[in-house]
Amino acid sequence: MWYKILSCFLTIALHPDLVSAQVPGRQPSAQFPQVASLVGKQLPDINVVDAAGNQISTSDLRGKYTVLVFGCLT
Amino acid sequence: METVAVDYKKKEVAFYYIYKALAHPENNGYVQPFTLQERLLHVAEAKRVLGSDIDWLCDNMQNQLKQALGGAPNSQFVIDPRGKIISAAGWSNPAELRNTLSELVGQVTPVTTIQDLGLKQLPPPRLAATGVVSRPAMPGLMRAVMVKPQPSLEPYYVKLRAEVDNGFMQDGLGWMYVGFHLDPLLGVHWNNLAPPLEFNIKTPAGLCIASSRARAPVVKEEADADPREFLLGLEWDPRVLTATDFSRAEMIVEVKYYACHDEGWCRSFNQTYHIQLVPDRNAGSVRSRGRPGGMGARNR
Repeated sequence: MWYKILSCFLTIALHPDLVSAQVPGRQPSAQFPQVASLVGKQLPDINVVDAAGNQISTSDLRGKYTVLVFGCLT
Repeated sequence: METVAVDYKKKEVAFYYIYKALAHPENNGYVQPFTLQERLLHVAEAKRVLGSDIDWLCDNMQNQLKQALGGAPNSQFVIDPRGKIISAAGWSNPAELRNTLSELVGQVTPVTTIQDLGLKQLPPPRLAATGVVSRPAMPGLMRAVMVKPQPSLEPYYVKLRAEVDNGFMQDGLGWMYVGFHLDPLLGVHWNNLAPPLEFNIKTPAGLCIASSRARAPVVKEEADADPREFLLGLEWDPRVLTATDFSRAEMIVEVKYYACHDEGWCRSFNQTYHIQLVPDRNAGSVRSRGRPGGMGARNR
């Protein structure tokens, strides 16, 4: 029975957001190998909003080379 | 990143920052937004403090774009005109990006420097006094769990963060952190002339909490912006609450607090949360707990 709750929390323990700075000596990119594996795949079609709150789809970004960089205030 | 964007926009390359959940809540006082409207306040704040000319898009509150693109907090992608991902880095690297773009659309000379741009970066919002209320020492590694704010007619000026410790994770017996944090983007501070924040927690059978009611300490300062934090003993009895039911079980937190807005009004608020003791992979990890100001913003 305990393994279920343990596996529940191991999921978060292994989540990259939470280990990103807990592995000394590794390059940040090396901690996210799942990102590099996306090369060659299609950008998924997902609804997001622009800074004014207007809904757009990531498919609307087609037509030119586009750079996407994830970030936040912290 | 700013200089690469300035140079390669001339070659018709589009640049977007994608705003997502905070990687490290509490840095510079910022806390996780609860709604898309609040996340858009973060986007506006990011534009303000970073002084960036790059356009922002905002991931939805399910964080679908971030999860679909690998879940990394500061990743970088180049998409071709047909929508195919042709370059991906787990951590943003402007020098690498410049090389990639120069291979795709040609070099840009002269290269713009950060000094050329004269970015106007501004400090985070000025808060009421901090360092007034002592913060509890954490018993060890803490993990954020799911917090669901219930419908409220008022904004959540104060936002709950809940975490549990390794002891609870491993043995079902440990500590739960309950922290009520002012949202610095909503312009409020604690009204210490009124009674302090208090809350009660209702737990399902099989989850026992050491203290089902608690009250924050009385603070002598008239106003402050420190979080009101509590460590509560927590025990799970799997004979009563099965593992299957555990993941669905909810604790109910009802909180009452008094706050004043920087524009002058003071009011009391009653708000309710449900807590599920399952990991929240979008809650980020707190790095600056107990250190006012935190580590500062990323992506400059």
